[in-house]
Formats: sequence, structure tokens, C-alpha cells
Amino acid sequence: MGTEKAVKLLEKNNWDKKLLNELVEMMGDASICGLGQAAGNPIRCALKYFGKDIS
Amino acid sequence: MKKVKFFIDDIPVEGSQDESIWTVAKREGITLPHLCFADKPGYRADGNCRACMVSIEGERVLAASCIRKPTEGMKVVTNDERSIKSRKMVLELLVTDQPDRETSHDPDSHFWKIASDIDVEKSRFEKREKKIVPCEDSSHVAMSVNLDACINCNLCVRACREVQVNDVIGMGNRVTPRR
Repeated sequence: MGTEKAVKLLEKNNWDKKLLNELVEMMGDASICGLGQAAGNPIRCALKYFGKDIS
Repeated sequence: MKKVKFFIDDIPVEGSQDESIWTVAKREGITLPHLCFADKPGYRADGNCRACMVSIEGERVLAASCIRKPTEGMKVVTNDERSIKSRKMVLELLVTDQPDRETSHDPDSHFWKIASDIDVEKSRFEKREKKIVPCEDSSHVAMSVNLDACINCNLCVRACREVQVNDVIGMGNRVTPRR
């Protein structure tokens, strides 16, 4: 569910960074399995290190 | 059963070894959101809906309180920002793909009550595409189910199999349309 909604957010031209961050944080904290917990890591990194380059 | 002393939100509490954190918290007056877990005799918790997440000191991730058993001296926190936000986010995700409350099959359902209890009425996410929303299944005379409001929590299957011991329903196609 989290990954599905994350993809929808990423497909948009303008990223809702706040919402993406909240989503990724929750996935990391509350997913049952490690795959779900780690699925948001690339998004987390992109926002953290390339935040300025992303409109 | 052996007694276990631990803490919920810094309050010393006592529960037995086979009780979940959720059950002890409820006894202490804290009813955490719960969807896939029914607070009735004979119902086995599964911990899959993630609506009852709590923080446990020293642990990397949150824990589903309905399935987690306390240990001696454990420090459980239910009212910290991290677990509150997590629980709300889980509900927000589930609300996204529900029919709107006003036009839903049952606006007073347990799901909507839990959602409004923690102030989640609207979702900021995009709904799933119409074509993958499963429609009502009334193909059998004895049962009818509104699959568009199903959250895949598996409670009905566990109830049928383990409480009623009928074992006549199952779940398939969990990601895309279910049967």
C-alpha cells in the first residue's frame, strides 16, 4: 500500500516532499517486513541529498 | 501464567505473559486503534493492519501492540509523536481507497469510528484507479461482501476458520481485485 501510493506521488511532475517524507518515515517504522521498511530509502536519500535539485 | 511488570507511557503496569500490550493498555484506559484485531474472545490477533503501532524503548522499529507480548521492564510508549504519526498515516492510507464516508456502505462502521477517533477523515493521497476497485461479490446466496471497502486485514477469514471453525472463505489476489 505504501509503495503503491509512493509511486503515485513520484509520478507527478511536482513532488509533494512533505507528504513523501511522512510516508517514507511511516513505511520504515511500521512495515511488517524489511522490504517495506527499506523500500522508501532511495526516496529518503533523494530528498535528503538532492532536495534542492528536485522541484 | 507468570506476571510481567512493565511500563506504558511511564506508568508501571502488570500483565500476564500471554497478554498482548494492546490488552494491557486497554485495561489501563488506553484503547489503541485496531482494525485487523477484534477484541472478542477466541479471536487471534494477527498484527497485519499496523493501526495499533507503539514505540518500545531500545527497538529500531515500532511494534504492533495487538500481537506483541510484554517482557519484564519493557518500556512501551503509545503517546509519542512517532507512533501517533505512524498510526494516523496507516489510517490515512486506508481511507484513501475507501468509498467516501457519506456514501459508504456503513458510515458508522468500526473502520470509520477508528478513523475519526484519531482525526483521520481525509486523505492526501491519490485513490487507486477505478478499474482495479473490486466490486461487490454476491455470487453466493449465503454471503455477500462489499469488496470495495475491504482492507485485506484477513479478520473475516480468521473468524470463519478459527472462531466459527467453518473454513469456507479465503482470500485471493490481495494486491489487485480480490475474490
